[in-house]
Amino acid sequence: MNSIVAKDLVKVYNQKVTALKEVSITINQGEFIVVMGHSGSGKSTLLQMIGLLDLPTSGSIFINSKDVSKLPKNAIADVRQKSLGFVFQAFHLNPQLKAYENVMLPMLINPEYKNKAEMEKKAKELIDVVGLSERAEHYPSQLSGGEQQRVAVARALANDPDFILADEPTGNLDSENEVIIFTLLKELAQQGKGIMVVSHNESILEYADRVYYMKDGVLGDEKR
Amino acid sequence: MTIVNFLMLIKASVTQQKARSIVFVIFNAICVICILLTSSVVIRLWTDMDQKVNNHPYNKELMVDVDINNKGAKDKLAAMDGVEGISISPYDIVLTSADKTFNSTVNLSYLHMDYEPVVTKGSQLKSTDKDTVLMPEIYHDKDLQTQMRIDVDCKKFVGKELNFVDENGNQYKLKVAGTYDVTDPALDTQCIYTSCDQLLKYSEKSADDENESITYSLALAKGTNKQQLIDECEKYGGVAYENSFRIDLSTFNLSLIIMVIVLAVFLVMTVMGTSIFISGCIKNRTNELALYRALGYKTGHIFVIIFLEYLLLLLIAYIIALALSAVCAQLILNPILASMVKGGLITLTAEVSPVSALIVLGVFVAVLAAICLRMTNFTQKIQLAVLLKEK
Repeated sequence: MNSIVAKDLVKVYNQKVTALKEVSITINQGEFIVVMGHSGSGKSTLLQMIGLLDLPTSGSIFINSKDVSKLPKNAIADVRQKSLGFVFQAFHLNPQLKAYENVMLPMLINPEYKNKAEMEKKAKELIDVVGLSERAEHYPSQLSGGEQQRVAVARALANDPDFILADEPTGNLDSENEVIIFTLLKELAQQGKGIMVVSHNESILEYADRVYYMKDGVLGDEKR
Repeated sequence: MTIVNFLMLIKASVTQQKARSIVFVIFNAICVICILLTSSVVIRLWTDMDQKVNNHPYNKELMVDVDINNKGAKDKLAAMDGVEGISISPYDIVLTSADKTFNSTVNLSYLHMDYEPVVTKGSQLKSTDKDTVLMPEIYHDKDLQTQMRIDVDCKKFVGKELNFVDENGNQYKLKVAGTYDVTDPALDTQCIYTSCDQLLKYSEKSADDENESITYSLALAKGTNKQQLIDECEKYGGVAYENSFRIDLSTFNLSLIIMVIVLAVFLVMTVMGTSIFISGCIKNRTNELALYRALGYKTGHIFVIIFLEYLLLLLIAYIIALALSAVCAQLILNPILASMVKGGLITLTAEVSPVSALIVLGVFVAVLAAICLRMTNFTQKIQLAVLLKEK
């Protein structure tokens, strides 16, 4: 089973602000992990480190037993492309691309896809997985917030990553769409993906396998 | 494959920033027009100055006066490094018009090194022609009473025979083959010209027994050091001097310098304008570019996306500019340039050739690639944490 193991992560900004204080966490495939905390607790910073969107000041990150925190930039990009999928609070869909074209974005640089037709077929399959097959040809402006986030989830699955990292995925959604998104992420965990969600929304707790609370850059013990 | 894949992103980006894309196309079209036209004038001017002046046949000739009794001088002069040929140069003959066609005396001279001037009416001199001359298109004669200058249009003499007599009473019946462009700085507008061989024959008839020297004309190889040859001629008893080539290069040198400065200014404007524009556009796409990086796009991918987008816009601008340049050159620029430099050896014209068009395109593409590379390096500094901010 593959896993992400973060050991003793420290992140200091401008030599003054310590956002993470020796944080260690493990995310296994097939698990739904939630990290909760108030604004400024360091939970988004933790997700940045684990997602290799930024590098820690000290500490190590192992993805599938390989220390990735010391790799050069292009190698880190390869790891993100192959092993990680992201879902952001602000969706970050390209407004000029249709739903399925947004899902294709990560595939454009994946050499496993031989041609555009293959990418389109896979993208539409993923759109179907998230329950939006009738909206595949629509632009983001023609979709609701929940639908846009579902497209973002489909995009995160484009290269069949082992792990999905979601930062406040329901922050801009109503309660009905929250349920849809959390249910979707739970199903992905049950299918074998490692899911890590950063959220301050307590309605996610019923979906989580493990829950951690962060406060002032310190990760509390696992709660279950 | 990846480049084809990115066409989807490029189309989306151009569509999203339609107004900016149009501004970019217009700006670059204007820059291309300015640079294409200026560079074509510079190239033409430089080429003319090199070919028509520096490599003018009269500039590749050295005249050497040698004592008539110096028998071995000719062979020694011919053997010097850089000398490709040697011939005897006849002296000009002063003629008076026997049929009162002209009031002033006329110098009968010869065309050096088989030079063919621009003929405005009639034909060139042929090697088989005898007793044939080229006249200036306009001859500056003199009114005998008022002493004022009279300009005689010699085109009316083409095909006709004119009668002259020299100082020794020798008569010459000379047929006018054609008239030459009087703006040719290589020629004296007070001279009528025949071939060297023909004038040599006339010289024998009108020879002054008191001539003490022979003048040789040395044809030089390109790039020969004339001063060195002049010094060497002295060793063999010759007094060497350059053919007086009556062209004032100072105006053209100044024009060339000004045009090069103008070209440099346009280039700087292009680089700065394009750089500022693309920089502004990229800074507005921070989230989009951060997302690509988060999805695993590497530096090379980002560069290709940025470069291809602006390359496409540049090519559109270039095609528009090429068409407009041709029209501008024909209808506006060339008439203005022609009025500034009337006739003469060197012309100022804007003429976009395929080679210069390709070179200018190459320069623009290189500048664009450099700017896009710089902007790609900038995108590497974007903090991916921007993706984690709320909308």
